[in-house]
Amino acid sequence: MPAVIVYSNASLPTFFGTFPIFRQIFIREQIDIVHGHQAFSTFCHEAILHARSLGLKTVFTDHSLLGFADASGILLNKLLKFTLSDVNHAICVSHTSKENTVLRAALDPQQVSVIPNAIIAEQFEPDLGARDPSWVTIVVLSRLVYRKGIDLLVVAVPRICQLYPRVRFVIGGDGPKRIDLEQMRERFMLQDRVELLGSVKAADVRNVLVRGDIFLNTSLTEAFCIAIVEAASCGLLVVSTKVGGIPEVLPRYMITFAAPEEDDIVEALSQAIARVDDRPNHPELSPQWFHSQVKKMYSWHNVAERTERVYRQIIDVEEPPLIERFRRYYGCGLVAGKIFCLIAAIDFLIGAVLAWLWPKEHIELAQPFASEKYQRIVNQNRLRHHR
Amino acid sequence: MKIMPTRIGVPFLSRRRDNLSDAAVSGSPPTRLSPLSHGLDDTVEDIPVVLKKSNASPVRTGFSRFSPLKSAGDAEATNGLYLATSRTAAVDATASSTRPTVIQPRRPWRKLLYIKQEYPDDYVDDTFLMELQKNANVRMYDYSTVVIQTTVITQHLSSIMIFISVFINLYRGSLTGRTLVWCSSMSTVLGFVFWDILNMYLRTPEQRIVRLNLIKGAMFFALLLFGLSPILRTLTEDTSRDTIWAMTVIFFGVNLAFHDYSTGNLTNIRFPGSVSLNAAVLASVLLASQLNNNLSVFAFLSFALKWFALFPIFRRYLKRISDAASMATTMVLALMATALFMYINKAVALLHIFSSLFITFVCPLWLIWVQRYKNEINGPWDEARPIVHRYFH
Repeated sequence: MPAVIVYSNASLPTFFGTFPIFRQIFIREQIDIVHGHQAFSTFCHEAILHARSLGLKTVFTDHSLLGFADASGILLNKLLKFTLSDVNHAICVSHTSKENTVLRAALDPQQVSVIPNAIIAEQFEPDLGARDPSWVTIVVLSRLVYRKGIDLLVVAVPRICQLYPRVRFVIGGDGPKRIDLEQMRERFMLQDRVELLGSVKAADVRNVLVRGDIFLNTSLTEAFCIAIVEAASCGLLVVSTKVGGIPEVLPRYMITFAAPEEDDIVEALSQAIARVDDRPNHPELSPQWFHSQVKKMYSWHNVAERTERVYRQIIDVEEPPLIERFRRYYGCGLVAGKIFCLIAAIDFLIGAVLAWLWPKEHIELAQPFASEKYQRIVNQNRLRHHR
Repeated sequence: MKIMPTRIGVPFLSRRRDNLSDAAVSGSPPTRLSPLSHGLDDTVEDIPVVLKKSNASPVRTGFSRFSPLKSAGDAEATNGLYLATSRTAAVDATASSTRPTVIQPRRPWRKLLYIKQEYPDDYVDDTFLMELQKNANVRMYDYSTVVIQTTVITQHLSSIMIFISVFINLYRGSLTGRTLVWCSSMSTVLGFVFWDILNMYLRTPEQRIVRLNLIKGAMFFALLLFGLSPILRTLTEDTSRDTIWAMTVIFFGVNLAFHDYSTGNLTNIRFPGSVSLNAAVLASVLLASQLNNNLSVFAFLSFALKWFALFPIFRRYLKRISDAASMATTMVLALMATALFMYINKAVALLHIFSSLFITFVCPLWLIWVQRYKNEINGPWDEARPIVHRYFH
């Protein structure tokens, strides 16, 4: 897509600019359902708007939690209301996220499904050999920013190091709060016990995780938190702040909760450290068992199946008339409702102009992908490789 | 005044009841309920769910697109009703738990992601939005407190009015620069003495400031201003008068908007307050450049600095020590501004009286009335505030 990156992988909204190209894609690929992700993505909002103008079905997945008090929350909630007032179905990644989205966009909760994220469990297998048995290693992997609760980490690390001489920390990730961590490490002379890895590539995450016994997550807000699932899959005991959707994610024997408060985090970590020593005596706490359980809980197959169910549910819904769409947009707010109607109307008109400029019949349809043939070639290649 | 955290009702009840009864009829195969195999907790929890079907109030329809918050009020009523019926049902059930034809319901829904539940993904449970809190940390105001609090605004408004009238008198020649210098210097000295005594009395850190240094600084500043006044007088010679008046009005508006009205901060001038002071000084310089002799310019600018930088500090101290004194000052300032403007423009004077009365007596009522529309929503999705004690620091 021809879009200029403005700031940290984000492009400016173009409103109608992407319509022609989206229309070409939709028609060429014979799209029936457009599924957009992430409330912060302008691309997603535009794609859904244009798809609705062309009369396609739309689904939206929300991955974020937002409060109602700050200015960015208020603005984004309005935008979300705009997009969500005309989608056929919305998907949230946790029940808390669903409550949040329903409130933010004033949706009918029956129109919102909860389908959690998943991991490829095969990529997060425990490796007992990677641990150093003379230490209890606590792993932290997150962006080092305020929202991830790094302030809590900065105060908890020296206290834990003082309480338990056998404990060390491995902290992966980068961000503005890294300076705080480095200062803390210098100040308490913890260079040999706190390892700062900097940013960790996605492929290396597992190798860092398996070095640890405990995974610590100090987030202040989190819709789902895939990191703790990955850590549990690698067989780590998880300690996490009890915020957002986190309480729904893992069973109690895998996770120890803490309030986002210094003392409570130290307390929860102490409990987890005690459980590390206890682990060999309990088969249900073994890393292998953790892995097999997480594998059962979260798989992409399951996600795909459930998402497909959503698609099937909406595909036969009768398309409401245009005036009904306007009525929905109009209900979004005293001023915003009118602006939304205007945008939707202009988009609809542009759609009509585009249909006249490039009639549907003149757009070449894409050939269906010959997946059987592809599979055959792949298999042949694999056999050849083995020989 | 405190407000009780109200738990919002769940407006989706009627629909869900519908749901459940459907499920109970068509869903799991009917089996006999035995309290022994289930445990007492389950019995108490589950039976009402089944019985509810018979007690269900008429199902409300036409819910297709609504804001969950708007219908909170009446949903609360429904909720209460539902709770009451289910409780009596529970008592019934435990009293005669051997009732033969009870259908076993599904396991209760749990707000968890890691278990597979026999509910569809778009299922809405009774516990939906249970943790939502409305207006949990809202402070209600009472009228008299708000009225007293408004005095800081009327004071500042009146002080701007007085300042403008002083300028007009100076501009018209009915007030000479010499008189203004004397008056403002005398009042500054009085204010300084007052400030000094109060610092002793309130034991603020300012009592440590060496007085001699302060006086030296003030003298130096006055001399500098005196030397600069010919330049300032000719600063805007080429600018049209209309522009000056318009800009002055804008800057005084900025001054009014950004003024630091809080009483907590006695000496420092911080961010919004500094914008306000800068706007006032800019407006005064613009006005001063319209005067015709150097002494007037000097007198006017030194008066402006005292009036906008030092006088607010005086008013804050006064507010700190007694509300009555602050009220009295407000009255004096308002009357003074009105009296001074009576000679200049009666309409402006009347407008000033009315706006002061409006701010003091009507706006608090307005604020209290508008509080009923307060709709603050808190829940588990809010960003937590990290609590850090920093034992090591």
